[in-house]
Amino acid sequence: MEVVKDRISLVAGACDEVGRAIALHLAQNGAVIVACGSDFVELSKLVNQIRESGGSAEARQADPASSADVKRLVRDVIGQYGRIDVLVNNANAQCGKLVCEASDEDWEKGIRCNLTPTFYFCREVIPGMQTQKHGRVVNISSIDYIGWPGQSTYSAAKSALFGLTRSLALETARDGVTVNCVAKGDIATSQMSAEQAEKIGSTLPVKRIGLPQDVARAVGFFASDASNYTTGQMLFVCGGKSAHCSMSI
Amino acid sequence: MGIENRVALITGSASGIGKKTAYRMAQNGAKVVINDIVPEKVEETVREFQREGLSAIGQVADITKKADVEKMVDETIATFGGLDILVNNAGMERAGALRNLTEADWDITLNVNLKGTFLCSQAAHNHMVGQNRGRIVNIASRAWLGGPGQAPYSSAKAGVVGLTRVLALELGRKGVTANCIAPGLIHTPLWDELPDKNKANLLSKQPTGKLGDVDDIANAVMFFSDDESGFITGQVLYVCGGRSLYSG
Repeated sequence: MEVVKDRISLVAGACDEVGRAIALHLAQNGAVIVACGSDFVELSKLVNQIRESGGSAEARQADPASSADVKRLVRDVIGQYGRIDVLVNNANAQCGKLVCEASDEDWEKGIRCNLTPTFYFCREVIPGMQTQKHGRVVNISSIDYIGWPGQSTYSAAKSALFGLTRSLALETARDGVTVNCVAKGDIATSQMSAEQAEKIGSTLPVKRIGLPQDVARAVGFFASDASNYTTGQMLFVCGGKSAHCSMSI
Repeated sequence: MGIENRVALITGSASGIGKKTAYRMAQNGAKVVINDIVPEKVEETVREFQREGLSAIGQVADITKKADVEKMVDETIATFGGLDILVNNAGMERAGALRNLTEADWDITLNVNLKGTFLCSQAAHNHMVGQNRGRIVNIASRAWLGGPGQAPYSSAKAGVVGLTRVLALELGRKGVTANCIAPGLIHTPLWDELPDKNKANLLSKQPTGKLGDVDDIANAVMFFSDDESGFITGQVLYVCGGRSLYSG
């Protein structure tokens, strides 16, 4: 169902566990992965894993928060492959501070790490997609966008992805490009103990914590031709947590 | 993995979106139950599926009648040995300005779109809960956001969205997910009957400038129905070419 075979897929923010899962999932479905991030060691591990499974991938080191780095990277990728079919924006840095205790630097860092990279990548990649009349952009947000004490900058940045996604969707709708957003809920990490994961999972309607693969699968749907007529949407992958909240439209 | 060997009951599946969804599910290895209120349409669709070697049975039922629905679910389980996926697709619309709508318009629209979804979900959930696994996919409409002349339809579909969230919260701990798809303009026989002027007006409001296809909805149903979509529940996915992004 998820038709992404041979699609050139740039995964920005491929170093964390969600980014890795997304890259692996797309590669398993036949996509050619360009894994991008600032940690070349982690990227290389991911690329090796994909290649060992018979997939196609390469690592590209860049600072996603650097306009010049992103510009160079996108130019190089298009120079090598001739196009980018799928862009996944997963740059993510959890940063927790109460609003009144956050410094100017905290604010700037929260936006720079969680929002700015998506803007930079979209600005560089989307024109090519518009020209080729086909493209899939998937932005990874978080259910924390609804607001949470101590998550001021993170929530603000993730909320902004909502508006950015919708604006981009409208700007590109007639060009065969879709732009959607996956809002992840509580996702297990390798740093989390089994007890912690179980405790968090017990608070969710589905009574289990999410896995990076749950997010990856939703990304796979939006990256594929199965979602041709869906654009500007936000899908929560959160085990039903969002059903407790009053949210958006 | 996937939906292979899963039993899927799709209401209103003898034509349009429901039929295409059932067909795609059957092609992917599901055993499907074709439902409609008109016996001939059900028989014809089942024959069509079976001719292609697909696993399908028919169930003639009025989904606004509790007894009909319970019988349909019971017979599905008796025939296929279970029920894994319920797609509440059957729907209809009576449109008109508020002052012109009759009580009958309101009742039938609410009954088919909302009460039918409630009755089918209620009948199916017992079995799903018992097996700790199930997928409910409700077909709402972008129209639940409201539109002139759509009082009963918008109200019913808004009810479907609320019902979906309740189902998600009540059944989540039992391995049953409930999600909602809100289609926008889709190319169906009804579209072909519209005057050109109406078509042009509707298309002018589409960000994509295009109609959707029944396949687009079937794809979304398949996504939510998949075994691997277990961490997604209580959601509304608009399949509308971006039309939900602005009013007017």
